[in-house]
Amino acid sequence: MNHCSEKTSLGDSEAFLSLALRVTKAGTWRWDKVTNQVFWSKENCQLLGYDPQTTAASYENWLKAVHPGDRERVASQLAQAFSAATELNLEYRVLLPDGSVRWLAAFGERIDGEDGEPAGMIGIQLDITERKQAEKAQQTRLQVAMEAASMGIWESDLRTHTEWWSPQVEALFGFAPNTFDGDRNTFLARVHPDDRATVNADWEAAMRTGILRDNDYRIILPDQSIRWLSTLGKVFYDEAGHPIQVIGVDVDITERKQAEIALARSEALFRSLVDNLPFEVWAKDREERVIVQNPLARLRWGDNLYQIADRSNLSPELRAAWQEQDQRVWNGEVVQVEESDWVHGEWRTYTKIMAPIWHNGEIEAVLGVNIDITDRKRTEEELRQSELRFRNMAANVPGAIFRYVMHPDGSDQVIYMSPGCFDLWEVEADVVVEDARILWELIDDEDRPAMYESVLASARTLQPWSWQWRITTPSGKRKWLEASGRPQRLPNGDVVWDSLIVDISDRKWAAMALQESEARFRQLAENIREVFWMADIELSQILYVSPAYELIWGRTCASLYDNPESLLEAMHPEDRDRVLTVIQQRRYQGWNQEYRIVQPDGSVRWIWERAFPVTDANGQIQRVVGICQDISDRKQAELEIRQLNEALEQQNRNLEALVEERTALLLTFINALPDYIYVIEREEMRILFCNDRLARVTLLGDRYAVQGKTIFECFPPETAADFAEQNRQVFESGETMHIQEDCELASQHLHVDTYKIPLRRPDGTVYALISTSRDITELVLARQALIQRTAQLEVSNKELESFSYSVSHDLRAPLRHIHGFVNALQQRLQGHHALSDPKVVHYLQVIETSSQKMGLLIDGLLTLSRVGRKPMHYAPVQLRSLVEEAIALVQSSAETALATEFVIGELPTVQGDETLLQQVFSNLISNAVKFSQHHPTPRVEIGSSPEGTIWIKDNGVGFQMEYADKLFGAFQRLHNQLEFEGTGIGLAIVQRIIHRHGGIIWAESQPNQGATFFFKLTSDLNFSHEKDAMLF
Amino acid sequence: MNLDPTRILLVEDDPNDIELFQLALDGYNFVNQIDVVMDGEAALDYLHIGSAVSESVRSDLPRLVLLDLKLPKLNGIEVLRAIRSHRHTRDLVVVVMTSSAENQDLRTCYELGVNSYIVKPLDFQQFLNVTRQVGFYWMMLNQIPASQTELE
Repeated sequence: MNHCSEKTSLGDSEAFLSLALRVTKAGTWRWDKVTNQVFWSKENCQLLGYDPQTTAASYENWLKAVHPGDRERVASQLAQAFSAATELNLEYRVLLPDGSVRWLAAFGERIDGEDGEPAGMIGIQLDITERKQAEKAQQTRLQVAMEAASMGIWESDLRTHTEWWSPQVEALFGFAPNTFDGDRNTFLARVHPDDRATVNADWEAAMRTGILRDNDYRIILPDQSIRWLSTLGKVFYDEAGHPIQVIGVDVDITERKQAEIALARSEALFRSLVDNLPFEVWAKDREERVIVQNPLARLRWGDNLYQIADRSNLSPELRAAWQEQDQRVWNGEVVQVEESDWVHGEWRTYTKIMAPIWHNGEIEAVLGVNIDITDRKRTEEELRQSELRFRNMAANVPGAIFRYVMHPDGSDQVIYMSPGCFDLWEVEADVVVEDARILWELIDDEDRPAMYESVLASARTLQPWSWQWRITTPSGKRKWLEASGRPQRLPNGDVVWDSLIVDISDRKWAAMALQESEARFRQLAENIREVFWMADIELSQILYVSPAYELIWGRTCASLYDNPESLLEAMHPEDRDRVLTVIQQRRYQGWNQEYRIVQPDGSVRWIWERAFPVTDANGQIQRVVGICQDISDRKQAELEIRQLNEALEQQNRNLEALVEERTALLLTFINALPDYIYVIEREEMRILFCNDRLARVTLLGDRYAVQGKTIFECFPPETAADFAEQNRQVFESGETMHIQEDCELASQHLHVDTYKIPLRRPDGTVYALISTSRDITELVLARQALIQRTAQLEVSNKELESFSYSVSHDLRAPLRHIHGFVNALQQRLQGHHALSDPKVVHYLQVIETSSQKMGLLIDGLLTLSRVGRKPMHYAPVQLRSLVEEAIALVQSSAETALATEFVIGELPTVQGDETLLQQVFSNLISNAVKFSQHHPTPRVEIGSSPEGTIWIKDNGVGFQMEYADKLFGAFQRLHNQLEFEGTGIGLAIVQRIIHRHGGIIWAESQPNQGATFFFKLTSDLNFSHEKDAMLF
Repeated sequence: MNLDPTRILLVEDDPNDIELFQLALDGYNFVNQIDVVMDGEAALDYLHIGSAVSESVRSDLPRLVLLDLKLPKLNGIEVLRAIRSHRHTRDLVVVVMTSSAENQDLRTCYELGVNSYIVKPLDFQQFLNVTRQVGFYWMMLNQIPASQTELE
């Protein structure tokens, strides 16, 4: 068991060790002296800051890791422990690669071999950095605390008689650190000589009591300054009871000491102050004991007389008041009261102030101050009374009293202003006192400089000042103010006026108004052209008459004043009685009448007189005033106007007669017109006027029956609605409407051409319209027929054209064939016996000439058809050149033409188609040549008449006039082919061309008398002809 | 385009006119052969440019086409338009010979590029002269450009 248990216990130990190492993260090491080899665990290596992989275990590596500051110590202690076989207990620093420091604690011991010789060392190491840091922090804190308290520690070894001082103590005594020599005498030498005995006595006492208490002693520092210290120490004894050691602390109490001294000084100062105050000061505690009492308080109360209890002569009310006041103060209030007391044979008034004196949050005492205000009170009261009297006075005087100061620098100020200020300036007195400028600003611009000058003058001369000026108050009121005051120069150079300012506006305005009114009246009366007069109530005396009297009456004013009756004499005799009657009747009400007067030279003037009584304040009539105006001119003008009016009226009457006559004429005319005429007003579409023709179609009767009715009453509903719509358009647009329409009327159906013309008032508004309608029923019907006919014609024209075209084209082919084959036949028969037969030759000849003839006919027809279809190209055409060309053409183709004499007269230039007109002349001239070829002296004349008729005249065979209208038919011939060749289509072509120009052609002739063809193009021809004639 | 320098195509529906043409040109050495077609459609077929045309291009075109305007089926103007609008026949010499002297017909033919426009004279002698002169001029004197196809 034991064995077993031993074994187990050994195993346990290893386990424990292993656990301990692991938990503490301790490193282990071993040094073998024989081989001088070092072994260390991985943890040990890491503690030293090495990487176990790269750094081998060795003594040198160990030392290298140690902080250079600790290296020597570590080496020596390690060596010491080995040689002395003592336990190694070492704390040292390791400098880690990152520069930080780690504290390690190393423990170890020497191991000896079996031979007992030292064989090496083993040990472990721990990281104690945290503990070290904590210790360091604690030490630092203690040091800081001691430094803060100016406290230092010292030890005195009584056996060796040496002392150790901490650096703080050294500092307290003015030693540099570590320079204190450890001798107590050095200490005593620094102690103030006055305190040295006490210090020594205290030391001796401490040996007995075990406690050193050195209160408040002084030391003298090397710079001779004094420092107060306090020392507390404890004595340690040996077993025998002999004192062996004292440990103590020194504290610098200089500041406290100084404060104490200062307090004592301030206390003394306070005492002296309190004792000399000019009022009573006292303080008492809760037990009513007097703590402080200055001499004044003592004088009144005696040494202890302040105690309430002792004031047996106090009235119950005062006592209660005092108790109540005391209570308030003890509750923390400051109490200030005014109270009176019978002191030394008289009533005196005091201001009493009581305040709590706090100490440590508690009220320790009550401080009281009693200030005698009896005299002040009295003076104040007197002043108040005086002030009150003054203010009453100032407030009740009219205007304002004020004190005005001008300082030496020119600035001014109102020192006092009575409340009357506002009544004068509408500015409060305090505003003025604040800033006197407002008073200056309110003064009228024109008055201000002079007034300022007067103030300056008064300040200069110190002569009494009096002034009147105008102001405009802030509300715009105009005022006259007057002020006077006597200046007084003060020692500081100020000049002061006490002035009274009053409002004198009423006085001023009244005077000025009176002046102005009188001046105005004079000016008016003297200058008006009317006569203004004033008489007494009886009209027996003229009080005033204006100078215009002399001009109008032709008499002097003086004569009127002398002789009022002359007025009557001047009146026109015809008017006098009337005038006098009116005056008599309306003497007290006033009158208004016109009359004539006669001037001394006999000329008559018209007078318009208005008079009215003037009453006094009581309504009593005082006098009569009047105005007389010369209205002769007006009377004259009136007369002229009347005459003019009469003339105008006569003219009007004449005009009216004329208008009536013209109206009748117009009506006749309107009624005679073939148009339907009526006027319609805008509002209800009433017919205001219509002519008889319109009245008839309404079937309502004559026009008087129709006028006044609306169109809805006069026309069938649908027609009326149409009319109304048209009328509305005209009324709204204001423009004339022109339409053609069908309308259904009561009597018949009509086509009308209507104009609706708006009628305007002078201001431009349309109030009615006039409608004129012309019956175009026939025209419309004709036009419709025409349109139909034209359409039919166009169709047949088209047919004709295509017919002609086909004919010309298709008829030619067989003709050509006939002709061709006859020729071929003739050639074929050359040398044939058949050609010897004259009949055969003749027949062939006939076939050939017939086919040629037919070709000509077809060409003619073709030309005729082409003439009808060819588009017209209008341009100015000189007929003369056409004629000349045509003649040349005829002469080149017909031999007979060479024998013909051509006479060309004057020919115009016309508008027409040149090609077609060329054809006309060619045909007509070749005809003329053809039909006059048998005349011995054929002659063709071409000319024109002034009205534009062109003619072509020959002296040929002519024709009978009864065939004249057949001349122009196609294929119409008047002569046989043997006489004259021809197709009979030439004139048809000519006629068609002329017609296409809108002209006409005709011919005149007698057999064997020659023929003349006339043609006229459009009426334009006339115009052109005339124009050309003018140009030539 | 190969032209037969001695061949004429006559487009004419009237047998009398055909006979007169033949009469006029008979015996003139610049004409070897007169091919006659009697309506417009036949003319286009002859030239291989009609609607019933084979793929092939006619290689031996006539030197001259005498064209009447009044034709059954397609009229002369339509034939002329077809000839001028077809690549192979564009340069063919086409002379219109017709009875119509209508300006409208003339203008249309000239706009379509006719080489000559002649109104058939009424007089037989004149007809002979004109026909021969036309034939002589266009067959013998007139030069035409070598065609594109030939150059290629």
